[in-house]
Amino acid sequence: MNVAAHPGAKNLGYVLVDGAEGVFRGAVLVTDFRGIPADFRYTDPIRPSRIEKILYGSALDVYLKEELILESIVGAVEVQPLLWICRDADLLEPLARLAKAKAVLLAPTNRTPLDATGDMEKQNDPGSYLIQADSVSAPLRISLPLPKSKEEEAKAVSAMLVEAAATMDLLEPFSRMGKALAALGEEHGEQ
Amino acid sequence: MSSEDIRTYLARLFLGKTKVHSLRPQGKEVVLRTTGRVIETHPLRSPERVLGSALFGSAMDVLTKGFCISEAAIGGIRDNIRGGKFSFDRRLVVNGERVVRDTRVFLHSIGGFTVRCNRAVGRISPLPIEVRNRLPWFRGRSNSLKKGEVLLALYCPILEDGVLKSVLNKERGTLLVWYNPRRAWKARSLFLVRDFSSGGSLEWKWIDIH
Repeated sequence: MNVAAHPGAKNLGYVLVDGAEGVFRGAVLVTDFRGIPADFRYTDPIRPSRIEKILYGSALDVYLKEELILESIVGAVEVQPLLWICRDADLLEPLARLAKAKAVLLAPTNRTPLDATGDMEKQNDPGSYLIQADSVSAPLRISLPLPKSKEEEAKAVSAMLVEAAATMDLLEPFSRMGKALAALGEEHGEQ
Repeated sequence: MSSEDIRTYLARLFLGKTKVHSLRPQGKEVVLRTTGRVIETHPLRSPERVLGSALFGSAMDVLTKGFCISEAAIGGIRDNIRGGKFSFDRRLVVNGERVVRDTRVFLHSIGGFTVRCNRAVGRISPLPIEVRNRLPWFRGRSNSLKKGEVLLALYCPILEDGVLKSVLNKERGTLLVWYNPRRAWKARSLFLVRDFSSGGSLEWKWIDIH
């Protein structure tokens, strides 16, 4: 699995925005193709008051997650990635709109591995594909934002992911971000 | 037969009259009374009093609290809201007289969200990279296994030359790896094998998977 290209020169951007239990927060981790962090940003938690929840109504969740937090953390990143990765379908479209690079929704599957590394299989959902990123894992599901969901775009994204998967686990940074946020939350006495 | 009876008999016979006595109940009219009761209600609150604005003068200030709702939040639903605008009327008029000075109206925004982004790459860098066991998807056979060795786990990709420290998380079956980023370039796979030929000891073996 030697990599000819310099895996430290290309970056992936991982985006996490969470609004569980009425507390909204977000984080961005930019890693190189080895999974080594190049930039990490997180927001202070936002706790809307009861009256704010009433006034904003159903727009609150969308506004805080997609407009306020996502825009802030993506804009704050100094190391620009080649590809932005999120795991929340609601974030894909706004991420694609805000980011200066390609954006993709990445999700694990329990499907049987495809024949060879780099293989792609189009799914019924528009802009959705299964890709075999490496030879020893289940295929991953990628979804592209709809206006850009052409096959050429999917192939370009797939090529990037295959290259990175040679030196890192593509989904692992999400769990590291979760641990970092939990540790930071404990430091600040949050629940 | 008594003389009274003979008199009555003869009166009926010749005069055709019968003495009738009236039983009219003079002064005994029936009085009708209703059983319904009148309920008296007494309010528990004290009577409302209206104090004229003259008591306070026309210079009293009004503190208006409101929310500054972001254009971004409202923009999408503006069309669905009648009026489409949140506003507060800061005029207060009593008997045709304006009693609130426009110039002293305070507006306090107690809403409006602010986001602070913190840079913390130094906090996430020390965290290990968690490598999961890929054995369930390993379809090949490794020539590096000797007779008596059984493959227990396969961890990949691991940047062999950059590994500073690794810890096997037996609970989750994952391998926690700390790297030296300056040396971590070469990706390989790591087998965890049990060697029954030497008493069942555990061994780690680096291999290349193509």
